[in-house]
Amino acid sequence: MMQSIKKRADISILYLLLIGLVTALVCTGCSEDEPVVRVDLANRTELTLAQPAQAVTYAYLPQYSHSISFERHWRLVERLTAATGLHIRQVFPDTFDAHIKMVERGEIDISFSNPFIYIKLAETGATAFARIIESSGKPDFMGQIICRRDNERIKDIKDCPGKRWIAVDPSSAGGYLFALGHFIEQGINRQDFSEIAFAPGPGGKQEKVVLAVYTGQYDIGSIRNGTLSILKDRIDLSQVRILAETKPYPGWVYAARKDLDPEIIDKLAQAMFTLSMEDEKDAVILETAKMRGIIPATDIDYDLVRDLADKLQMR
Amino acid sequence: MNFFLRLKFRTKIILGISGIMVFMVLVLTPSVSRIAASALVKESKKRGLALAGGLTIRAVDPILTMDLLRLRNIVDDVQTMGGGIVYAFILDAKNQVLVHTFQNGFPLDLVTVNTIEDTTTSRIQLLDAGTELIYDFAAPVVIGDSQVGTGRIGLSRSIIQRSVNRLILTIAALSAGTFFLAILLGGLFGRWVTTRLGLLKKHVEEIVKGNLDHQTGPLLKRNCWEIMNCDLKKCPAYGDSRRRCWYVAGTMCAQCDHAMYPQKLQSCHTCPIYKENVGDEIQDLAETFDVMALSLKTHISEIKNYQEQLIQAQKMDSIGKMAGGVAHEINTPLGIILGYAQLLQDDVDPEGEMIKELQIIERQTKVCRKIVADLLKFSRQTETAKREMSINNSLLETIALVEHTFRLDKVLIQTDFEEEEKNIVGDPDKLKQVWLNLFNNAKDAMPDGGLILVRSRMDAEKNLVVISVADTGPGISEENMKKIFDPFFTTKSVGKGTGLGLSVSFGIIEDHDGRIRAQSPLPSDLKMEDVTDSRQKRPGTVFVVEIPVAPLVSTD
Repeated sequence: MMQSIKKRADISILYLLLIGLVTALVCTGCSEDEPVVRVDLANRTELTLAQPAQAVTYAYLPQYSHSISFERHWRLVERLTAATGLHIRQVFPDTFDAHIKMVERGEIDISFSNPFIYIKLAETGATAFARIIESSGKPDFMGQIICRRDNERIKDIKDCPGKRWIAVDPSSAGGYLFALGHFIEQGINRQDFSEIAFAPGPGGKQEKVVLAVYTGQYDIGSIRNGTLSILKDRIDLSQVRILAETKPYPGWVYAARKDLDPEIIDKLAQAMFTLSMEDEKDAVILETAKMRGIIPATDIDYDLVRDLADKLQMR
Repeated sequence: MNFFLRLKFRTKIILGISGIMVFMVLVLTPSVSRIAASALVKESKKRGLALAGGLTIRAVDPILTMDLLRLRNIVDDVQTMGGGIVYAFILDAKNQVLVHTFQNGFPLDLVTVNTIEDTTTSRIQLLDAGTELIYDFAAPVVIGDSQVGTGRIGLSRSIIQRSVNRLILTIAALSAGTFFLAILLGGLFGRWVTTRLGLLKKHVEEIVKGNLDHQTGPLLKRNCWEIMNCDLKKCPAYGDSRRRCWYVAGTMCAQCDHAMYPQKLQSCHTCPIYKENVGDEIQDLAETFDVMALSLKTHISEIKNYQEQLIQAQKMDSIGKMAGGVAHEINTPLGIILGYAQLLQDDVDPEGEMIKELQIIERQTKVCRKIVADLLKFSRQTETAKREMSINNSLLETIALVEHTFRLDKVLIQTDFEEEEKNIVGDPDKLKQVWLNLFNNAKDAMPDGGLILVRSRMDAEKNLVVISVADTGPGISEENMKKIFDPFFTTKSVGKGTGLGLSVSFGIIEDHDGRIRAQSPLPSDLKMEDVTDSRQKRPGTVFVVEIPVAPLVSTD
């Protein structure tokens, strides 16, 4: 009897140990060993956003997302702010039309756009004051019409009617509009092609045109100059023949809205013109913005574009 | 230590298992719990960082365009995900709160408590809001190298803690369950082992008491002959359901090793019988105990047998000496009585009464002398004339002497002699007397007739000639079997025999360095059909005489 009681007592001690252990475990889980900062969530204030300071507004034609637009130009904007002492703020219109309208309404002071948009902006009173030097190192750029080297049915530009044409985008200057203007000058209209297709997007559209021609999907393609050199390590360029090149057209342009203080324009222009690829810091700014420099421009420089737009019945 | 040694085996098992489990619970469970809890907290932090990261990715464009409606939708979406999210808000590059999910104002303390200094990494800060702990996750809204804002999310630590506590409780409950289950199973196991040990103990106690028939090992569901579909009835394992066949020597399966246990066991490991019937160590022990008991029983029987033989031999030796002494002492007075009886016959009237009485004295005295002579033969105190002789011839001569008479009493004699017999060294007359005694005994045992088989065989191994005289009589009882070679022991009616025939035969055979023994009923190695065909089945008796073969004499 006594032994039985003793044995039960032993087992009870074991159970008590176990229960103690479980409790200790739960407490262990509760323990806190991270640094804590006290906050008072009850101390609340109704917030109002501070009004943005009066600033010169700068907008990049939204051909890419806002973040890419910001990423490419925020250094340039910072430099211009520092160089001119002006408070410059980058704004982000959602569409091309919104960009044009904001320039027209005076919500965008400085517009950075392609030549075709510029001629529309110019109609609202905006004036070109600077244009960029392209990655090719020239302020102008042109379109190229390409085909496969072994395509014996296409000897020159006059053999293009009836063929299948792939272009970059309906709004692409170098990748479509320049080439279309060139065809029209040669007496070849849109309807003369058996098919006009555009590269599927997004991204790398110029390269896709080259590849489509290279692989024989289309007879001819239109690209802006400089595209082929990008692909020199990926395809055998000797298999691609440049059938024709368009005349050169001026590239992307800076325009000031109507009635913007000329002093501001001048300050900004001077700051832009001093940027040089020779300077290490400037080179970073220019490369980030995908340009090699900024040079003076006048509205007359874009008459060529206006002529082309007329030919293409874009105006 | 003594206390532990005194504990019952079952208690020791339970204590041992409990000890192991307590050790495991004490050492492993806290570690596992801590690791699991830490992993859960880490996962929660990763979730918070992922949510904050997602918020900042979605907030990039709306921050640039200052689209507050989209920003508001983004923080609202994050908060509606639930899972302990207390708040979400977005700051611009100047740490100005653009949108937030708080009602009735924004707690300004939050703006400065978790500031990001490196634009490439997010930051986690534990906040004590008084009523609850909150993990604050701050993730930068970065475009290129530029930080344009910050996304902040608050995740309730209390909810994470509740999950951690649930996890720890689950682990603790599992540990406790395992602990109790182990004790339960340990108890059952201990009980099972101790029950079997108890059976072994009882078995040993029975052996100590002298009960060698007690069996401990379990009876088999299928015995070896059933598993192998075997009908080798001569196999020693056939029909032996007490012992596993691997304990039995001389089993007749093709793969069986003919060695004794345990050497034999080497050949059993691949045997289907062994695979089916082998048990654990305790069963092995029980079966070994059973084999030991059976072996002891056999050995004890043999020892008893030897003991009886020794006592019998000593008894016969003592009786022989006494009989010899008495015979010597009586022989001389008997000679004198006989001499005087014969002398007196010359002195009395040959037609008178006296001479008849003297003739009676003379006849009875001769009977006494015959008895004395027999006693002297029994005690081997008579002259012997040994020479090299043929047993078969000796037997044939004796059979020829009695065969006719026996046939008249319907007793037939069959012979089965060894063809390649070897001679022995013996006294032909005395041995004839032995055969005559045995034949007469056999005939007397079968008053209604029967069969006597006389067989001679060579035992080359022991270098013996073995003579068997078997009858189809009623046999000899076990009790009488012990006395049949005693002088004057007889089962015949008074006047039919002196009871000295077998004792004299015993003495003669002993004198030939041989052995004589009787066995009843007849052993199976005798050809029963030859012996019993002519009669109803009766146990019969066989007298077996073993006499050494004559030593080889060199011819050089």
